[in-house]
Amino acid sequence: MATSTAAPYLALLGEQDLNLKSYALKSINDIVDELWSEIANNILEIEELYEDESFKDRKLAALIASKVYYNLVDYDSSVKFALVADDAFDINEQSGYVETIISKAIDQYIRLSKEQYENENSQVEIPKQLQNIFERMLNKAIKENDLKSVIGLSLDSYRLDIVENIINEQLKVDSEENVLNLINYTLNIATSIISNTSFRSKILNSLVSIITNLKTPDFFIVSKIIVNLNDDSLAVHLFTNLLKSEETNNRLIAYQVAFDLVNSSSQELLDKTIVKLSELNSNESSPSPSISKIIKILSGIPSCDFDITFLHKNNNTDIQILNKARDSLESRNSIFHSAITFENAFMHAGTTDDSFFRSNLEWLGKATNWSKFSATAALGVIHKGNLSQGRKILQPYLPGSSGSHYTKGGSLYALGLIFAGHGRETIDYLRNHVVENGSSAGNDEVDVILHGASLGTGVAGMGSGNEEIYEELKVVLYSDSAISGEAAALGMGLIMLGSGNESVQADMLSYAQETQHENIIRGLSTGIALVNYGKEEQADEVISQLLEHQNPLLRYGGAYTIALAYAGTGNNKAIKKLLHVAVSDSNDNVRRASVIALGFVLIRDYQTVPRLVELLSESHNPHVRYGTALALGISCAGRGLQQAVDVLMPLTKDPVDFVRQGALVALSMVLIQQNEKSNSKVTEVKELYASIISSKSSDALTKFGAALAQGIIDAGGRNVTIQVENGSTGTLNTKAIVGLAVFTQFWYWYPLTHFLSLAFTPTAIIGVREDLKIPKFEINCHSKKSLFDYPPKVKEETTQAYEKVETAVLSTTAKAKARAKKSQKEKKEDDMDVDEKPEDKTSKEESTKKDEEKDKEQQDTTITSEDNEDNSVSKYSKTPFKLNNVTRVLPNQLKYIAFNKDERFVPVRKYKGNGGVVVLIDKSPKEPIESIKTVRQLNNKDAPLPEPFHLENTEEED
Amino acid sequence: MTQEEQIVIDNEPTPEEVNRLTIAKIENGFQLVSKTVQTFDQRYIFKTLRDLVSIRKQLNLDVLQYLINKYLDDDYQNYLLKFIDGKLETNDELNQFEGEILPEINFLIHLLVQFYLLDKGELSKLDELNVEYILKLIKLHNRRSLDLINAKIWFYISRTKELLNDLISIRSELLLALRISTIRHDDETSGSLITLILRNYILVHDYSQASNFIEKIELPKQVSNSIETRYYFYLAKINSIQLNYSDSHDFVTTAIRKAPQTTNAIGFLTSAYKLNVLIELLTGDIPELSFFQKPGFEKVLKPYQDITKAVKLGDLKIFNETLTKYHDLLIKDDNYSLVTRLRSNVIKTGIRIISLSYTKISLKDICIKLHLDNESSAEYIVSKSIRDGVIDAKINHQKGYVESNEIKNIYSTNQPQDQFNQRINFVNSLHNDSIKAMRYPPSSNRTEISNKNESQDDENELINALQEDFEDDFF
Repeated sequence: MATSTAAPYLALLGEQDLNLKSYALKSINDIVDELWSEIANNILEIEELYEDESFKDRKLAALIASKVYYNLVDYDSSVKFALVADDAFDINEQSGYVETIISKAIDQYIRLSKEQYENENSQVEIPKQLQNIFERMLNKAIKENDLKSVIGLSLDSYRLDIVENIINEQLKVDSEENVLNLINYTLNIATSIISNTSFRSKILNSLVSIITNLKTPDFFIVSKIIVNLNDDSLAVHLFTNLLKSEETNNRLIAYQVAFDLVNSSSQELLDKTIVKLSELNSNESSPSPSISKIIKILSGIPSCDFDITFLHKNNNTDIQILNKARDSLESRNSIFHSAITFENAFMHAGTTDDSFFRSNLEWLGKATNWSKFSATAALGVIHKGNLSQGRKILQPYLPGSSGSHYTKGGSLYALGLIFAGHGRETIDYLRNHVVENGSSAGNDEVDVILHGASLGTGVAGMGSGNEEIYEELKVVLYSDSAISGEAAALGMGLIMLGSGNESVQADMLSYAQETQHENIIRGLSTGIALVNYGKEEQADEVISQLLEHQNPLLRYGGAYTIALAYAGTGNNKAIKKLLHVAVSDSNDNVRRASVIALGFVLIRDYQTVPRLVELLSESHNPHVRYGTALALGISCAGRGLQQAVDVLMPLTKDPVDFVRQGALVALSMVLIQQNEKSNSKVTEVKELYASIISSKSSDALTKFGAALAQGIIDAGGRNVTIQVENGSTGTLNTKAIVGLAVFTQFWYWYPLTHFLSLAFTPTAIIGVREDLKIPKFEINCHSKKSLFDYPPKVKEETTQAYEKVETAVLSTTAKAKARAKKSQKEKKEDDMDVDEKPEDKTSKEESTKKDEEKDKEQQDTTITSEDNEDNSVSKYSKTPFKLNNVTRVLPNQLKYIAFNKDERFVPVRKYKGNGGVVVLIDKSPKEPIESIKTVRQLNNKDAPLPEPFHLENTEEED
Repeated sequence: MTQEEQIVIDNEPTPEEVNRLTIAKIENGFQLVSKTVQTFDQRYIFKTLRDLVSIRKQLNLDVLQYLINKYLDDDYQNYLLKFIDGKLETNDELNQFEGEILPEINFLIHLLVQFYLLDKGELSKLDELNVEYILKLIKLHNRRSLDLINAKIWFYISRTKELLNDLISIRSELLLALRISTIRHDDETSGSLITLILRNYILVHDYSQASNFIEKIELPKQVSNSIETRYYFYLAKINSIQLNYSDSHDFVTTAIRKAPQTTNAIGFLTSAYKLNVLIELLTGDIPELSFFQKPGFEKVLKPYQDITKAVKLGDLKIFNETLTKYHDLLIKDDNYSLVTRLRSNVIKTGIRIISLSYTKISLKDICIKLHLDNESSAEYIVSKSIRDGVIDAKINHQKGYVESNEIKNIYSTNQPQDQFNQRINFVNSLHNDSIKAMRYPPSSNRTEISNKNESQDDENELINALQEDFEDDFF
């Protein structure tokens, strides 16, 4: 039976005799769980007993105090006393009290060690006991073989030493494969969760040293780490290691790693690696052919070549959409002309198919001034990645030709876009133009050329960190001309992308405060944002400097700096700051920018974005609504997320024109490469675009948005997507993010729209042999083909129907026709009247077509109806269908892809759903194989150069 | 459902039909419960629990037997059937429930068994079930959706112990459970446990422990009304014993205000009213006559009305008579000790009446009027009343008389302001509480999404159901 009061024992505490006190404490300890509320009245006395250092049972007193505080829900004090209770506190006791205290203690330990790690000068001292408890708990978990949680906890508390220990211990007892799993797990945590950059690199460095000491190191993990660390010497080390042995397999692995690096690392890293490797090669007496090959791969030429081959070969553009948009939008109006230019550029991005220009010379001739600039630059988008031919194709327009300065400037920009991120071959040419004209900026003609040259240089030399180019661009900037200055500022940012270089930032920031030109300030603030790409907390200082500036243009830059510095981190502090600015800044542009920036920060947590911005999408401020749309477009780009579509759809009916524009563009970004199966809204959205473009009542901005959106949703001959995260390495796709960030500046300057092309990633699997040839063979896809098909093309009536529509129709006849139509429908006749509007017809035809398809499927399989609602489970089918090498494989489709192990070609890396270039092992290399010729090879041999078309002639005719 | 009930009433239903209907209702409740598990919306379970109150009367062996056989695994079946003397049905026709049995449903069936045993008066059996099985079962699960059900189950565990007069043994279990539920943020369970612990202390008259306890705990904010009401009542009770009459008065009025004004809670209201009368008397106020004439309460409040009368008259003799007359009843109400404290109030009232009627009166006359033994005790009492602020007067010790000061204009004092302030505070807090209790439906902007309509209907239905008159199982 429980005692009903603790008063007698509490009274004993007041006695002089120490033995009595001890006795009282022991008795109180037994009843504290029930009578804590009474004992709490005397808590001070008990604490005093603990503080009395001569008292032998002071630990017991601490324990009792801890228990009382625990019952009083004051966990901090409870932990404090539990810690000092030392061995009186039994860590192994099975009770709610002990569990709670331990979990709180661990929380506290993590908090303290974080504090300690982050401010080196801080006086934070972690109590020994706390560390003791922490380590004891970890040891317990290690004994229970719960290694992953131990690793997670130790990384949380910045205890790299424990992680290293575990992995080393495991190496002794476990198979290497399991250990590699652990390493991979650690790597994932390090790259996705750890927010402290210096600690992250510490982890990565230690992992590298562990891996390289393994008997069978996993080089792909190392390559991931190289990308994360941006460490060229490590890359060189890896390659030389791999090539030391004569084994083919290792050589192939080296090639695969090289391809991965091209895909995911910065140009600076590639450049430096190439330089070091060639030094190595030239030092040796006989240059190793494999190293030369790796140098070649790292130059990016083969990758670009493969991509462009894929896009060229599988080009599936729906030219009808484009033609119809061209006919509906009056090209004399420059905004519409630009709209068609961009639509065409995106639709054909990377396909090298510029037939639209050639067959519409008259239309092209209507381009004036800057729309001519954009039109020429569009060639760069279309030929993006065509490194071998790019220069030749643009030759007729480049400076030195007889064209206007707008074509010249545009062509330089185009050249930059072609070589985006792989600018080694062309950067010097572009630089020359910057240097030549740099001193005479301010002159109208020269300004336009400089604008193109600066942008081109920036794009081509993106992330190269080249100081010389930077200085050259700075000359242009300092001549203080609004047109060239803005481009130069952007170019400087692009060159220094992600360097976080302090003197660069100081230069740019001080000039931004000096100049009077808003364009330049804006260019500079975006430039500063670019310089801080991926810098996270290292950019905090400049962020707060910008955000607190009185000039709204610089605050605008501050928002973008957060966007790029914290891109994809989902950092809470950054989000908080952005949300605050989004609702409190006095300037609309800043608010818009900060909402857009949310999209960048949450790239990895894209599912949370619709919920987060849902309320903002109903803001009274149209700029915030516009920002919401773009934020969704950016974060959910290419993901086809239904919730994002649900938020965006109402925005397409917004009362403000530019909000509608943003919503249309964002929808296309979200729904890119989706078909009816993967997202049921696609058809509706596409019809919406068409109807906006053809409707007379829509305003210019909305129509521009719709045209742009049509281009994006069917981009790259429908074979590209916007991929902001590299599937294979889990790193962010820098090029895509930069492309998106500069693209969003099209609000101020349409030519920057072309930057979106940087974000387009071909969706393909390209298998290559050791000799970098693409053999013809087949891959299995364990799914149903219809799930990943192209959306059906729009079927268009002949132009006859158009003429009929455009003739004026009297209201009475219209009514009569409507009546006729109605009666017709009732009769359910299949034949349609010629007078019917073309959209009606197409949509009807489409729907009948859809019905047919559905019927067909129902015959084929029984589970089609569930298909749409329930994915993942029913999508898998055991009987695969065959895909050829170099075909379109959607990101969602990758997980259903399998290579047949018994075939002649198997990937050198265990296949885990990676797209892009896959290096293959050829099991019978002697046998002949038919290979697919790349664009480069085709051009080298027999293909004649495409005929240049002449803008000027047509213009003169006007 | 209402239609069905109509028919049933018309046709003098057979027991089987009633059973079937009951089972249907319960199973309907189970479905709501699974909805809670899916949507994390506690309101569905809340509704189920409320429905169970009305079902409780129709609960019988057959219904329980059916439910246990259908929904539970062997482990649970065996002992539950043993307790209710039910049979295990191995008949194949009885389709075993398909799919996973949610712990929530399992707990609900346990709760139903508790109802059944309690209503049948099988206390020792129920106690055995509670101690042997249910306590262990509760510890096994850690789910937020069990919060509301656990709160109920704890209530009946404690209630059983109370009826068996074995309050001490359960106390430590209650305290332990309170700790765990606080850590898990199971607000309803914590709230329920807090009231149970308080009740436990009060029933054994351990007021000092109870006051220690309330000083150190805090009732979670998100608890149901019934728990909050009880909590305030117990607070009032403890505070009144501890001589904090004004706090106590606040608490008891809150409790009365929050209590449901329906027949289900009549027992609770009566005790609250009784306490209220005593506290008002102790603070020196006299309740209005209308207070005792509330329909349905006239009879039970009669003794208290008599006491009030005695206090009002300030007549010790009548007071003592009333006290002896209702002695047993007051002990039963556990209010006797409070009533005895009224003696001094009776005297004070007497003095006040005297001071109102006479501007000057000799101590001797006071003795006679108040039936006091001698002048010195009268002097003592008057001086104490002056100090307590009951009357505003002066004693002339030499000449042995009391002289009242002139009554000031009450509007020249701060009193009206204080009253006004008090009322405004009350209204404001009522307003705030009402706003906090409101639920805002999710954005109406996206109602167009088709499949939402269904859940919208559900939501409306639920809201309607919850807005119906509040019933709860007070006793």
